Amino acid sequence: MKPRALILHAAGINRDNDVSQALSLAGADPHIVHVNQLKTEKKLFSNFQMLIIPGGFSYGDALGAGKLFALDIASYFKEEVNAFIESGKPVMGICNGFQTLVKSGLLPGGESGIQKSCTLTHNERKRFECRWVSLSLPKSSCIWTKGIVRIVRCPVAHGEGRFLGLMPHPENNIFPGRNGSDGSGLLLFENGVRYAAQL
Amino acid sequence: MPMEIGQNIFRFTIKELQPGGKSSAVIVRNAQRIGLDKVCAVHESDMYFVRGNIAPGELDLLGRFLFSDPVLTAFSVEELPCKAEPGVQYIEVGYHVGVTDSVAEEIVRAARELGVTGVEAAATGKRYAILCRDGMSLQNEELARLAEKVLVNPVVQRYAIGPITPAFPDESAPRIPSEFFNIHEMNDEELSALNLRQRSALSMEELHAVRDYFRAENRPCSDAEYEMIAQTWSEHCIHKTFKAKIRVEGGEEEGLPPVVDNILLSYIKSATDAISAPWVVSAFKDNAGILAFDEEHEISFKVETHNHPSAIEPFGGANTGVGGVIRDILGVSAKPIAVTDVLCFGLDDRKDFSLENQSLQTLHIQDGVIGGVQDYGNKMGIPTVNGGIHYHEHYMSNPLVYCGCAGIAPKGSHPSAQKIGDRIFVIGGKTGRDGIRGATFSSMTMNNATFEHAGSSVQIGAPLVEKKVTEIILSTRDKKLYSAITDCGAGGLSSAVGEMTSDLGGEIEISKVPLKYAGLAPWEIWLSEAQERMVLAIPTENAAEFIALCEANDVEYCDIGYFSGTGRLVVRYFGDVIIDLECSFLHKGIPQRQLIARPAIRKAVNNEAAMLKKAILEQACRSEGNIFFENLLIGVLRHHAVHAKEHAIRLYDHEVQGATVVGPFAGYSQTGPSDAAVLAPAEVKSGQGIVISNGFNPRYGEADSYNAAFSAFDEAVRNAVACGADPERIAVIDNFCWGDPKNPENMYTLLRSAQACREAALIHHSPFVSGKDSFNNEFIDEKGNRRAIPPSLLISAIGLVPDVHKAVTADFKEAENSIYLVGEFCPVLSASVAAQLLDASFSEQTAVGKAKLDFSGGTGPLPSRKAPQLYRALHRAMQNSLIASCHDISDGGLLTAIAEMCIAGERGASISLEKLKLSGSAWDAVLTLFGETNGSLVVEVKQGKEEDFIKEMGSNECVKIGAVGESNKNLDLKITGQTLLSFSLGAIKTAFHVQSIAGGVR
Repeated sequence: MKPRALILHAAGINRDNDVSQALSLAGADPHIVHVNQLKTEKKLFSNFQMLIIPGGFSYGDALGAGKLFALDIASYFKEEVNAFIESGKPVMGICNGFQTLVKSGLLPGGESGIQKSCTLTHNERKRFECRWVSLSLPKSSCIWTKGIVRIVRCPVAHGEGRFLGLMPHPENNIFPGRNGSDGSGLLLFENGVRYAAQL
Repeated sequence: MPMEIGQNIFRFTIKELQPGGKSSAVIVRNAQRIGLDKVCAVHESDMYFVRGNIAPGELDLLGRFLFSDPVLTAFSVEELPCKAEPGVQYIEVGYHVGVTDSVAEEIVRAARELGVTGVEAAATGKRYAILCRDGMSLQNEELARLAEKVLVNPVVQRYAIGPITPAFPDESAPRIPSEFFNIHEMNDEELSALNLRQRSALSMEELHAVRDYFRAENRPCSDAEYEMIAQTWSEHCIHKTFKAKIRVEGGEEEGLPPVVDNILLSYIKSATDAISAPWVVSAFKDNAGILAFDEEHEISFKVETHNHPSAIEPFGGANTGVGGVIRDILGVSAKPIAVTDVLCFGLDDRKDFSLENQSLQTLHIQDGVIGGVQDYGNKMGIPTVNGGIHYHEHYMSNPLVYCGCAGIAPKGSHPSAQKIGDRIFVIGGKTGRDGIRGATFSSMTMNNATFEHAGSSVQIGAPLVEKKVTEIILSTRDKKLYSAITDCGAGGLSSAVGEMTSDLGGEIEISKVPLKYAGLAPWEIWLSEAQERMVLAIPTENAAEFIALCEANDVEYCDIGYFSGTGRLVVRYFGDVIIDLECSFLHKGIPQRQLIARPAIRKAVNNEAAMLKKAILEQACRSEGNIFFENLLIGVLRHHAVHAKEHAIRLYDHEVQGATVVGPFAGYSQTGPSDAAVLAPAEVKSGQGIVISNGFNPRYGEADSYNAAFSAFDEAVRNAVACGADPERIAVIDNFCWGDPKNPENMYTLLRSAQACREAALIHHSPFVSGKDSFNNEFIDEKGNRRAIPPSLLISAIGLVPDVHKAVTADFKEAENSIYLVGEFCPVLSASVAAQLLDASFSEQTAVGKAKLDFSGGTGPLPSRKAPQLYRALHRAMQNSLIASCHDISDGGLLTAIAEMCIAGERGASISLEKLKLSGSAWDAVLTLFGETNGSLVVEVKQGKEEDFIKEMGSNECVKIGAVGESNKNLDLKITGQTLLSFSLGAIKTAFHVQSIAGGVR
């Protein structure tokens, strides 16, 4: 059976469809669900084997990237997300979604709320830049990056265990032969889906 | 209306934990540029204000959870009034009351989510602490200068030297009644006075028509009725110049008739009708042009301008320009898939071709506009895939901002079937004074007073709201909940509801429209151009489901009335009738405008100057040798018309939606320019792609508006074809930006331009499907000098690539592949980039020739009438996979095109022009290498495919000019037997990407 992936949606998230397309291509059964719907149907979380927090500008980046989306998650879904993590299911946060994960305090190394020990801040030039980058992945036990030896056209900012947090967008590099892309971003999703399928 | 001090207002100040914080290099640099050399550091911190009954513990919660990040920042909180901090110089900045502050809205929402329910209102601000060298300090006058020139846009912001008090709207403002004018009894003088007082930009004939209408109804006119008529009849909304009757003087020689009755019908729509392409689904009817695409989908396209608002508030103007054109695509029920923008900025010094020393004023406009485009497109999740940035000294106070958007929708999903009884809903943003009288204002010439009057009418975008609206519209479309839809743009509800009810009439009640703040007069609610709103017709049986969807997605909605079937539009405010107008008068009652067109006196051709130019070039070439050509190529690549402009383009997200097959940069390393964008939207299963391209050139426009229009058309089509578009499936959109139409010379250049549009459309077989015009792009400065922009026609093309895998890019692909020059290659130096450089470098050398020695003079590149045939042959060659890369010849000419292909492919090339049989003169060499032309491209043909390629080219001109080189090798060039040149790839790449062109994007 295809693993079911929950793609969180909130006002301002804009790469939900992109990551949905990548997950479909990698063999998952993705569902984009708005947080407002989840608020009334919290048990939905348990129907899924993967959790994805996609990129975009949640709440227009008001008060900082991912900040208010993180507040949503910490306020409404703390137990559900913790249970998700404890049951060993893979979690991925991309770009704004990664910032959301970090700021929600739910990642290992961060505790919920004010005692946070890590955060993400501006790049050196303090501005948005759209640029293709190549990255070789360090050898790691991260289920998302495991076994990928070729260069992936996007840098990975954080990779550990069942979590993958990254700033660039592998979901926009799933077809070879386009605009500087080679399709290598799909490898990450295939790894995650393969892992989730055997849960 | 600032609140009185000490009323439960708390201020949070956020400081960076990093010792000393980070100083803003851009602000310090700009402070020094206005003469404040002693400023050595400026520390910026965020401030947030909240008002309400908030307990100390709750304030702490807000500070920790909302306003600060424990790893990076700390906060302090105090109740107003705040004491000035001793020993520190600082300026605090906040918004004027009523200006959209979307962060403040999120604060109120998030505070409630945290359980802090006492927060009634919020505001944001910035604090700038200023440090000077050697213990010096700034005088109050200097602080004010720093604030006004560097930190603040006075149109939307205010500042204080020391602590600022936030401005919250006064919610207890009383309801404002309608005013009535006895227009039915007014004489001409009184009508003029009314026109001036209401800033309505109506002519005397139009005022008479209004008076006569109210005379017939024997009643006074309400302020709302007057404003609605002025808006509906504004140039912006009804295009009265394009529909005018024009008497043409002296146009016989150039094929113009003595009278042109309606430019739009005579030249633009008539071309579309004559072409009668079966794949045009909707042209000039809906908010955007709609085209057939494949078995399942239709595509749509719209491009418009947002010039006047961008002149006044560059960020907000460009921001809402993008937001507005996206709503046009939503207004045809399509999903927006790409944004394109063409921006025109001023030059401080017309000889500063690499823009090394732009003034603060210019940078302010440029950075604001680019930032505004970036903010909206990126936040909407729509890739900005194509566009251009152009410079001309006359765009100084008249920046042009052309914004375009393309969309895709399932076939036949755009309904226009509103019926009597259907409810009228407005959804999205709240209504404020934003953009009041924007439609009439954008139909006027600007002067310094314009900036003062603009005040509250500046539009600020909220892309987050539009993103939510987009999602709602696409899901309600798929559920078939609405019977008609339109966007709320210029003219606000007045325009949107007015147009939607223009046949049936409607009964409207506006008292429930959600407002940003109290105190709006009813006519202001009706006319407001507040952003992010759409108007939908919802059959009563669908209303409940529609409302539920809006609520689930936090989208504001309001049921404002229904279609009545009476043919009159009746608008009420708390039950009182404020408008009761005959729809036919409103939409068809405007008298036709009468204008005159007359050509400017032509300059005589100076043969002596032609000789002199040749002699000068010969001499320079002899004395400088190869260096002469090297310098010219480097100069052209650094020139603002050619340069990569990465500093701006990389700020745009080109990749979101995952559909970008060809983006703004070509090649593996994305270092060269692309001709057009190619998209493969995820929902498309047929393998087809969409091409978007533009053609625009202000130098050509200034030289000759007829040739320029032909060139713009050719360039747009050529760019699309270069990337793989089928030339039989390209549609175009026109955007005319001109000066004052009452000036007969402006009308003449406009007519010539329209005439060329028609001819070009017919020969290329590319119909117009939509268009816009913007007049009065003139500015009267404080000295009373009138400055008009050059005739500026943008042609934007949308096309179809039969198979996205066969899309072609501009980067050289493989060593030993042959390079061909194809098409009717007729280079001219007139109006070229190289000519500007030559004019600049020789003007000082030759005192005699200063006036005569005009390399730029003349009428620009001529139309290429063989181009359509070439483009069809080239497309066949691409479909047969014969072509490895392709790039059009435009700004900078042939050598520039080849250099760009080398840069994109990171390869050298070996070029020989011997087959072109040049005379050997310096003039011929310069003309061939740098002259600009229409209808020509450079093509890399795959090995083993040359014979097939030549066969496919048939009778089209096609000359082999060299071969692609190895990676990172030189671009070698043989002009004639004797002249051998070699350019290092590094040098041309550096020139093309030179950083000094960059402004300090904030």
